[in-house]
Amino acid sequence: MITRDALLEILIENIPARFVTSAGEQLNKYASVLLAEAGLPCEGIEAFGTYKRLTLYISGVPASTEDKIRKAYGPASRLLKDEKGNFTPQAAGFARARGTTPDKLGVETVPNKGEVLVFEEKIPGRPAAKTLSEIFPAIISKLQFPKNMVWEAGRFRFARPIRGLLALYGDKPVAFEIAGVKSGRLSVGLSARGSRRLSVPSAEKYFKLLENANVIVKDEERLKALRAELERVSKRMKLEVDIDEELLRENLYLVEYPVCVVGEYSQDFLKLPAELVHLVMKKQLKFFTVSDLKGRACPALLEQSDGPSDMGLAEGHAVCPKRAGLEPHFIGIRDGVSKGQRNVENGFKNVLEARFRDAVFFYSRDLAVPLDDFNAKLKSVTFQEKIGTMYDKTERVKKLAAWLCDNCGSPVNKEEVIKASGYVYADLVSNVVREFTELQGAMGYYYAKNAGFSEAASRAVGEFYWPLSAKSPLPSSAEGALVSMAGKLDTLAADFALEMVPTGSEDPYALRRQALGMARVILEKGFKINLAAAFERALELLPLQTSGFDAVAVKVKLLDFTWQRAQSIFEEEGFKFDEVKAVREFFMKAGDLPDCRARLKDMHAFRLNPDFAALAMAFKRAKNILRQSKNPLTGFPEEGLFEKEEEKILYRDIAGISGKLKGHLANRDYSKSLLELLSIKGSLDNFFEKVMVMAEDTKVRDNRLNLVKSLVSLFEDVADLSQLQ
Amino acid sequence: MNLQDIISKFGQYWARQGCAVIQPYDLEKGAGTYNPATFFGALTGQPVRVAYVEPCRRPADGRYGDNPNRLGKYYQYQVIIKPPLKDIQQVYLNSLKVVGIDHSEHDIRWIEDDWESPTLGASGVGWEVWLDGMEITQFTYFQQMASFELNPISVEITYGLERLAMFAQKKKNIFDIKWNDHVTYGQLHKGQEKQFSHYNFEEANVENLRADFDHWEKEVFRLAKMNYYLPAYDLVMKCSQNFNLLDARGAISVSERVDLIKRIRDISRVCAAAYVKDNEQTETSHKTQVTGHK
Repeated sequence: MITRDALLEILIENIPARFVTSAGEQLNKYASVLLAEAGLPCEGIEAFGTYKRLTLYISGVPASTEDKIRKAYGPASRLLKDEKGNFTPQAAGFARARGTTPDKLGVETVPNKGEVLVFEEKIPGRPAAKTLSEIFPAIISKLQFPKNMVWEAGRFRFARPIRGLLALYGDKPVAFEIAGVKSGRLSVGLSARGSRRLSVPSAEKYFKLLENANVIVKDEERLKALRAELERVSKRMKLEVDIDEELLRENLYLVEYPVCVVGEYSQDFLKLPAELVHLVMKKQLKFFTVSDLKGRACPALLEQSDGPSDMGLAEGHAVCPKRAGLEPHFIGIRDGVSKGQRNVENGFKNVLEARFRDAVFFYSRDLAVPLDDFNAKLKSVTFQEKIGTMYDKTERVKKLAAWLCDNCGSPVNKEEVIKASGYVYADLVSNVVREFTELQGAMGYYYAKNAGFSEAASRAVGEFYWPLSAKSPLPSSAEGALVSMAGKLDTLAADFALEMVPTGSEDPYALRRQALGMARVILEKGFKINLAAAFERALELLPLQTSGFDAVAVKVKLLDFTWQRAQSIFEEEGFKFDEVKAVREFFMKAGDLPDCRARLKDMHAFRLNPDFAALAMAFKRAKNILRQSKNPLTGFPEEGLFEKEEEKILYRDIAGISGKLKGHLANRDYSKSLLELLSIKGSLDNFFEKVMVMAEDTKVRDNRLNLVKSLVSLFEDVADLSQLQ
Repeated sequence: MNLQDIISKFGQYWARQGCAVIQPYDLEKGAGTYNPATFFGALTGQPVRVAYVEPCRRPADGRYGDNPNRLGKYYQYQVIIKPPLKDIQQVYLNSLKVVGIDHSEHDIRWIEDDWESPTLGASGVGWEVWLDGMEITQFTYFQQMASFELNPISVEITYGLERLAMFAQKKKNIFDIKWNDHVTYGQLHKGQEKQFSHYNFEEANVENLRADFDHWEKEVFRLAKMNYYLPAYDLVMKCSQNFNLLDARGAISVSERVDLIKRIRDISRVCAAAYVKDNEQTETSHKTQVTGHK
């Protein structure tokens, strides 16, 4: 079968960089759905985008859609012919209505109807170009953007005005009209060269033609070219370009053919915090920063951050440069041409330095402000209307941090914790953070240092919002970790008390991230914190205006919410879903995450023991039996009421291990605890085999039930094995 | 190229595109969008093509003439086209060519920036245009004006004239811009910047500003009822200027700000509503004449 490729190019006035990736995905998705619906096969669908074009490329499309058979069912088959063998009027009528003759009718068995007459009509395929002329506009209409606009008389809604449509099947035009634009075979070249019209002879020649016009349509190829450009510049300068992936992607969609512009700025601006330099360059001008090859030369905040930094992609919080050994160079990306490089370089430099001068102005003014004055200003910044200001929040965080020091089970420098926690929000009212909200926290570090705080306390302020994303680093010190936890506890408690609980994809205050961050801090730092008590404390500290809430119910919700986050950590660590379930109750009662992990670890290892599954089954059985009891049980059987040898033995065995078990539990040695439990498996099996728990005699029965209950409570101190699958 | 030449080149260029090149409106305003040619022009069904220079006052941005990049009063070149031309982007880029900016020698970028004026109840979708990193133009497809959904849509192109001149003349200080071969921008404007900064930040009488605001606001309602929406709208502009002055004087609290903005939005809406109604009547009677129906 001869196939050709099909092409749709939507030419648009500069579509925002952040819209393009999703538009490509949608083009791809809708194309595959609509092609399938129309019965038009293809070998491949690809979608690409730049700031001025969205391209859909469908390869290997046959000249027409598949032939289709349409079946029409008629009267029962016995009505085809009469006794004489002639077609009946019913059969003739059915055939006539379908535009055929009775001899063309067949017979088919249809459920509920039996054998009926059928006419199979063959519908020949439609030409591909014709079908595409319906599919293309349908795809365009389906595209969704974060924001739409209208611009023409038909009031078609799209991200930005559509100014051209190129649509081809092989070399044939695919004709349609949408938003007042007729499709044709014209594309356009690079903007910087005057957007010259390009007549595209066939779909297959599209990419080559545009490449010759200096337009790299394919995102991945353009990205490769951009990386290569940066690499080349890096080598030439003998310096390292800080590749910020987010910035890379944004630039990718601001140009059709990347050309680097390298320039220098005054060394003086390197006195600014590295985070600020990076952000001015990245956010305001989309420039890349440059570091010396050694990198990490300056004592900035991120110096000690562990592992590869993905902080640039953090969810709206402090963006830290990869390296702090900044060099006074910038790299901007231009679209397509390298003429007049000097003009562009000078322009870039002037604008950058003007922005830096603003930053210096803000920063030096901030440095002149005492930290307590910043805090006083927080009195006019609302946190949540019913819960007061950020100043009030600071006071609560300070109290929570002090409580955490006393209840975290680790030796910490309480003085430093309290000092740092009193200024965690001070930078919010600074000029720099008001201008660059992403720098909250990071600027706090510099202001704290400036106020004479120790490096450790300053760092605790600077890392207050850490971890910024699921995998990014935790605060570097135990002190910093507690300060950051205090903030998260207060935010979670306050928002839950106000019933601002995340639902579905809605999580405007990023509470999931905060709870996950808290769980990570506790687990990775190994704090023995009772989160149930911590949440109680946090809820207690909330002001009275919110006293409408039920503190116990909110606490349970908070624990459950935190558990869901912890669960994802545990599962990622390799624990099975059912194992995690088996320790959940311990968390809901004692809120001790490291303890839950210790139980999980030992249980997970113990599962390899061939007798373990049987033990878990026996426990499950015991639990089920207890459910049948109608009377309240004490859990203390009387020895005198035992009738059978097996129950006596079990009783004695339980008594024998319970003391040892308590000791192991006190040491949090769940491995030994499980071994103790396993040691009575034999007597437990015998008991179930030989003893009928639900005896006729109620006294005997209740006594046996009490024996089972004592057994169950023994198990339940280790893990709820009945949850295991 | 001197600043006055940029203005006259733009005038010639946009006149060739069919624009009426009109004069600034003689009242203080924060942006060219406030000019009645834009405010009313965007509201109805008739086509509009207008271009004009507009002096804009931003009292809080003044720096006593000391800052090389900041002004309390500056010039915009404003173009309104309704409905938008299909090749409006290219038409705009060509306008840069007439003032000596060749795209192939410079980096020109369109950065997403959806404009909004809460006092006018106006919003649009568009871009800032960056020339070698410097913002030189705001380019907007209006979607709403005075809270009315617009149909047809207008495109608004607002050039920052000082920025363009600095660029063209390679100046780092606004006041060094050459207005013509003999006079600099500083010679013409520095005194103004200095005196008005003192007035805006220190001397403007807060009580009077508030009292005038209240009084004009009442007048707008009275005049609009009588269908004198044009003089009514003059008073809207004056209220907006008083608001900006109060802001520069640091006299507005956070909650009052929200309230004042809403009051200005409400009176601009009243003017717009009267204008739209008036226009519908004229349009209907016009159609009746053309088609000969009653």
